[in-house]
Amino acid sequence: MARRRGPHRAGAWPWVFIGPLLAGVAVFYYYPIVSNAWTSLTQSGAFGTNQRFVGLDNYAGLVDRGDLGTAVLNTLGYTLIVLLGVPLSVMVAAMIELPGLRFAPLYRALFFMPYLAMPMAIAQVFRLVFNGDFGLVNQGLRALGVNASPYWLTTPGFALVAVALFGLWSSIGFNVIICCAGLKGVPRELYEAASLDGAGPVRQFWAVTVPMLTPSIFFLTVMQTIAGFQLFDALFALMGANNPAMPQTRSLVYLFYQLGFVVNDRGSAAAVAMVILVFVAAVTAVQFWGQRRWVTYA
Amino acid sequence: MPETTPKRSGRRRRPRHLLVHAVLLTGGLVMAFPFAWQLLMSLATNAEIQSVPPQPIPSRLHVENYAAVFDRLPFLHQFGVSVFITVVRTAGQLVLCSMAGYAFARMRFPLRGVLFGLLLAILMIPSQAYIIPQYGIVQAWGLLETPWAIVLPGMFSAFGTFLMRQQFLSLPVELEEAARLDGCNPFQTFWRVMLPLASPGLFAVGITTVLYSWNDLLWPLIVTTRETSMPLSVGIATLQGQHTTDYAVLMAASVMAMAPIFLLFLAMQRRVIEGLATSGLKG
Amino acid sequence: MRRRTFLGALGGLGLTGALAACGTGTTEQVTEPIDENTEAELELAYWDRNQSVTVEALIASFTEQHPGITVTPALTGPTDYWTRLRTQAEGGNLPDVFWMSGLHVQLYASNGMLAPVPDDVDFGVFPQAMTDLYTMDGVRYGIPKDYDTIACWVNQRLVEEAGVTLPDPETWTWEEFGETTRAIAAGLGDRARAVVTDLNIGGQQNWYNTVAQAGGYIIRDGRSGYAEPDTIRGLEFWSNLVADGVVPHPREIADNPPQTAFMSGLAAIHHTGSWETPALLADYPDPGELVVVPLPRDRERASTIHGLAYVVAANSANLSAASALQRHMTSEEAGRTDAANGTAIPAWAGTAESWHEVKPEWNLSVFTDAAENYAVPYPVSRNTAAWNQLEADLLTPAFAGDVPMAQAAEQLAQQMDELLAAER
Repeated sequence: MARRRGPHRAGAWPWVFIGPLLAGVAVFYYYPIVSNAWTSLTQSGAFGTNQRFVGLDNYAGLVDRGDLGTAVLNTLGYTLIVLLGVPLSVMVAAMIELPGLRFAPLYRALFFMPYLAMPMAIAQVFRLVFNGDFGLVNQGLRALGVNASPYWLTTPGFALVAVALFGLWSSIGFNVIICCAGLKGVPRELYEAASLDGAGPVRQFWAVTVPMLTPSIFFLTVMQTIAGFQLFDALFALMGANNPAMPQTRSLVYLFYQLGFVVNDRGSAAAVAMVILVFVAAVTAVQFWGQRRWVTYA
Repeated sequence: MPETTPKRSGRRRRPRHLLVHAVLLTGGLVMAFPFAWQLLMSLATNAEIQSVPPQPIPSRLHVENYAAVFDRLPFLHQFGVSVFITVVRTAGQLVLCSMAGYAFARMRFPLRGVLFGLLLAILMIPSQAYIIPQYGIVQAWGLLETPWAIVLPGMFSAFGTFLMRQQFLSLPVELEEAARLDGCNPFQTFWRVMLPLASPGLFAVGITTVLYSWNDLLWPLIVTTRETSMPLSVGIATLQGQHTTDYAVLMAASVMAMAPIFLLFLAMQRRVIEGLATSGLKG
Repeated sequence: MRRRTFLGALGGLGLTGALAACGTGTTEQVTEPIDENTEAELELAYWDRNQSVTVEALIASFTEQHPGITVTPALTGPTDYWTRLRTQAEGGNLPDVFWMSGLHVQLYASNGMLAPVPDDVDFGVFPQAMTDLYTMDGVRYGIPKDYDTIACWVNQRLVEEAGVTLPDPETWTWEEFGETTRAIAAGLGDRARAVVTDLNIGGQQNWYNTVAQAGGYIIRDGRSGYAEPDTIRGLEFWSNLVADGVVPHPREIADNPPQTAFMSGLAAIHHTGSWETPALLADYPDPGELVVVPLPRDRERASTIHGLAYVVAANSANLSAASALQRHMTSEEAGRTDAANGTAIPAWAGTAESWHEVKPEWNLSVFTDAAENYAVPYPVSRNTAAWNQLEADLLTPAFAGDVPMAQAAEQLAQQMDELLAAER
């Protein structure tokens, strides 16, 4: 019966496969997004009472406030730094998965560890690492002869870099594992063929590993971009709400949290959420559009 | 795979691996170092942790911090809640995401691209924007204070679906066509042929969901208020006080919460590698 | 038990509060007395693990008197508490009885989330400022549980090492405070800080006090006081100390919190609240070297008073039982339990005496004395958090010396007035 159909004409089957997921997503995510979109066009009391329609006033207000621009730039900066983790992870994974490398499981475990961290507890450690007076980073800099020892977490500019380094540290474990998993799918014959052609390890990396990993790299790039735009936890855990550098370091989601949950301006918060959605959707669309140029599927 | 590598090639490459070992070990230690420090903190006194400048090595090992965790939290109970929500969420995601991911990767249907884009869109809104409407739903369904309230929204994952879609896209088409020619319907093809091949992806989705469920804080904190309905992550968050926090006990508790997941990862890592070595993937 | 009027800031509120107590209150829900046969299930939410001992003891004594009532405590961390509470409020699912702070009370009360306190509760036993803090438009929404005031914790060893003798702290002035602390800073050099205070977490422990001492104010009759010259003088008290190197730069404070610096013997004076007591009791290495002294005076004496209250959700299904629990948690017995556990200064008059006894040589009576004689109320409005955010954003650069204080204060006054106008 299936044989009679064209190779891709599957009838109702796709809906059987995606239906359960879409049903849950519709209830728990689309409904809140639609309700958020509506909220962004209204103003109301702190708990959603006395809601009234105000059109695009909240969006206009955001543009007037000016802190939206700072938040966009901070979010972009953070995302770019964290994206460096993707090439880094490809290299680490390529090394770990080298044929015949001993202790590979140990390395995999070590690199994976940051992904296990409970942000609340580990941020405590990182606060000490970045501490301006006696932190390890500044001690290291001093040992290298660099005498400027900034208060990393409380100086505008430095704070964003410190938070991004923390973000890089916490995301690398996942990236490495995805790349390792991706490398499992690479047939050994490709390496052997390359080796017979006289390709050294570096050539093999560029000629075999990277092209074969493009689906994983694409996935990680898209996910890290989306995750970067959701920057909040790292900022909150590492810097704290009462940080003098926060006004210059706030991310878009932090702005959302502050408007919605601290100063009780629900309409403006919802507008920020919509801005984030449009922004990330645009970037992701570009990434998907670009993928056909460089991503090779089996 | 390394286990099955022929000795010949291993021997040939070993000298070059010295540099690789040096790089990986250095990197690995940077990754692990904060945990070592956390472990030391969990064995110090609160005064030592908060002293300036920091004293990384405790004067003596205060193992009693670990005992104190049991005094302050119904640890085993909350551990049980964590295990339950993690298992249910992970099982749910593995099924739902692999099915949807397969459809998005290998089936052609109207609005496929649009639906996939709309699915990814749910990752693009701050998660805090969801909690008030989601709270309304689980409250209306009478699920507050139950593990189901914690589990439900997180069972539907765009992230997992995307990952599984990428996994299926990277698998060769030939096997699937062979299965179809053998008369398998799409579900049989998916279940018997493709899913076993997708084990690295399943492993990745599994471990992500496990961790996400295990450490998830905001949502479970909103829907559970009783000590005994909370998962561990929320229980640990209650160790923070207004003006003072016993960080030593907090660190001990988070080490205790992390340990089982770490062990699980170590165990799963080996099984996945073994599973791969025996699968037909190597051709 | 206020023996003296406050600086006038809340005089009007105090009066309307008194009228409400005379029976003209707007209480619609009628709470009825409950007895030992009453059956109910109540949830009680709070945010500080350090007070669990007190909370649990009081719940136990309540359920002993009312065997038909079960009370489930719900503990959250202090930050998460408000996120959860606002979600519950929006879902119409607030806990029956819960902790409230001055910062949020008008927000919840003005949105109809809180049940008015029954008229027969005697507020005479609480500091007037605490009663006023939980009164809005003449209606009382919370029964005070505890309070805190501000003073200086002094590390006498460091002061001595700096070669400085403190002036009589009962009468010392801003000038004397400035001279003394500059001398301490000079004497200690890099070894330790002369004065620490957290300029990043709002004015309660520092500038709210000096603004009042200078004769200025933060908010009065729905208008910001930040543009007032006296208010600016109170703010400049701190920017001058930062400029002189007496108080660390806000950047350094955020990296090295005053509590830990003081605890580690790296600061001679900690300008902060009574809430430090339990941590210092538990962990301070050499308690003998500490003493508490009052804040210096300028035009006035002043110390900010703030405290928590127990409130009842307006839509509690068991309003009568919830109200009874609220009273029990703020009773004289509650005050004594709180005092004995040393966690907070109980609001109930007379029960605080046993609180200073937790460490007589520290002279903790400075805090209760401030409450009785010269406390100023913590400034609030319907959406306090909104302008608190402005304070943090605009004043911090001025404390750091990057922006002239007068300019920052005037900008703050203008933006704060816009927010206050929008509240109405």
